[in-house]
Amino acid sequence: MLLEIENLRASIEGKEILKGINLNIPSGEVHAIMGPNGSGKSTLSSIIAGKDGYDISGSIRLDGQEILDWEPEIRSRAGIFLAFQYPVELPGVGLSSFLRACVNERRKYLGEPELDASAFLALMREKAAMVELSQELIRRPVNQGFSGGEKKRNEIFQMAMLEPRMAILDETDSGLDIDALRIVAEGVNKLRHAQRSMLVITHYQRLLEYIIPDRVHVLMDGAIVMSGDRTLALTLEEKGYDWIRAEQEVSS
Amino acid sequence: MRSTEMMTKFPHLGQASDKHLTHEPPDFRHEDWKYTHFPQFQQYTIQLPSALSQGDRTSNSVPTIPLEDDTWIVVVKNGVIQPHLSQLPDPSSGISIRSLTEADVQHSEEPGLPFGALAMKHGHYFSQWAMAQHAAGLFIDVKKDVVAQKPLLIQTINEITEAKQVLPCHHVVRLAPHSSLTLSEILEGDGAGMSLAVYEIHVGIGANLKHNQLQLWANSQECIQQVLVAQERESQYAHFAYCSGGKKVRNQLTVSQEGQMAHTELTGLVLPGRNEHLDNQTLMRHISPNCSSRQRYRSLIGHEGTSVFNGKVYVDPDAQKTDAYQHHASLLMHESAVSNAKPELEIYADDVKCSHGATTGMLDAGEVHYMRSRGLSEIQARLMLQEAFVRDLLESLPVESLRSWCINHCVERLHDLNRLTD
Repeated sequence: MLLEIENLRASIEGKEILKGINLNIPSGEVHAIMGPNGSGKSTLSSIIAGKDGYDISGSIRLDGQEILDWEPEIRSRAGIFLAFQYPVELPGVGLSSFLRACVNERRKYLGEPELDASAFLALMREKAAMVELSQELIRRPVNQGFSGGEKKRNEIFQMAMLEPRMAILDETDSGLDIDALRIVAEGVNKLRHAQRSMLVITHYQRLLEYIIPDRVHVLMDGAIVMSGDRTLALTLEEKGYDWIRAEQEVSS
Repeated sequence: MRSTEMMTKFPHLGQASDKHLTHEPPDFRHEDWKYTHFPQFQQYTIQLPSALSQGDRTSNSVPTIPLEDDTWIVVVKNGVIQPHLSQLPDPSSGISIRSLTEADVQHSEEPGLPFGALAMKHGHYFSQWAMAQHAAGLFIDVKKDVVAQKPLLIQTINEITEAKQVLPCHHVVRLAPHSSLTLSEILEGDGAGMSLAVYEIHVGIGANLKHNQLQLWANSQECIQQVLVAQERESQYAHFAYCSGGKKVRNQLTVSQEGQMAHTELTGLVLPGRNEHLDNQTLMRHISPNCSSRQRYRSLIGHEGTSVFNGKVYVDPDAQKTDAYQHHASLLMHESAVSNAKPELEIYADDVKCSHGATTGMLDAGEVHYMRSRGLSEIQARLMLQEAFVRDLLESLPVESLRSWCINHCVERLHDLNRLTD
């Protein structure tokens, strides 16, 4: 199992947001998490990536190793990647020098030699083309002056550069027009790999028409209340979340 | 009595001597000296260059900066030019560099000489005090139409061992019409004394002076400096300040645009660390029409460090079509860091464009987290953001070799400041 989440509970300022999440993602699979606003989707992704400020119990294991007490940078070097819902602008920090430092930290962690300038540049050109990110944007500071769509594409570009084991896409489709959605989804699909898993968090079924998930989970009020194959997303689109609430009441 | 002797040489200095005798140094009640004052200054004793060690030929006071071969160098140790360490311009270059007193004796009959007038008119208490002490220094004179073929570097090394000892200096730079010069200074040293320097700079019609000052004072040293600039019409003056340290440093830059179409660029980067207090004040005097000025200052302040920035822009009623811009940003590296920033705009003309801005803050936790989530350690992320905060200012340093040296120095300084902050 690539990622195992076991009875994960998280609260902030006394308010419980995640109420015992159990989720296993085998290597090579793409899982989607859907759920209404405020159900805890973004909290779950932030916690996997190592954001602090939460009281946490339970377990998150990457390739069998407990990562909950790891700093965010160690998780990243070990292969966790979170594509932010709201990518952060880094004023004055050049995208290529930033990424070169990041890529080399990951390589050092893996015991691989660092990339020299020309090898890095070649890799960057190749990956940028994959998400149709212009060379002009690469020369700019990270996300500074990028449009909403460019920022999201830049997240997928960074994911391509870092070649993570476990990629989490937090509402990567929000704020994207149809063309941008297609470019981002195609980029993600090119990154699908037997050694890489993905967790796609989304509000809308539409993204899952482009990125076909192996499993779909429904997160409501801090817990996964239903799991199924990709047809679950279609049913949700059709019937809405109230349908699940009704199902739950029947079963309880 | 030294000041009497001075009055015969510089009749206009009589006023200064009087001021010095009747006034006390400004204290915190004076708006310009609110954050930085020297309450014990009257107990300081003057160290004249002759009383201080001049080092020897084997001393390590040769510039440590890898300069391009094509640089004129003047090494001044404790107020005295070190000819054996210097490479002065050839007389045929049209640029002369002399000790100020020597120049003064040779040219005192010449009308319109630039010694003392600016300091008398706009000098603050300490500048006038230094003038009254007959402070010596350099006289750099660039002839009409001469475009300097090499940059000039002055390395000043002050080693005034005792606290409450002050070494006053008075430098004069004159660029005749349509001449041009890049003048860089490295100011450093050791000891616990104070360096007090007054600069009178005259930039003639259509002349262009790029003036870079790298202040690398030790954290035991004090410094008061005033750079007074008078710009004639169509002239350009650019000042770049890099202040990496000092116990208590007060830099004042007073620029008067005395003719039309003059342009001024003032840039500064200040990096105070623990128990260091670095104060930069500017007074941009727009007194002629159709002139412009750009001021960009940044302070990156370490644990228990203090930065002061006071930027004044004065626009005279006659100075229509003035285009003035000023910006100051502070980045506090720790909760104990202090930034006092005060923009002051005094505008008496009605057809002008004047803008200013000031920001103060700490690194954004969200930015640091984003970078960590991509694999950088917290310290790597901080350093990268701090470097980004200062880099474009450093890139504007005009001499290539000095620029790369300064960038490296700054990166090392940032490492030190972060170490202290932890």
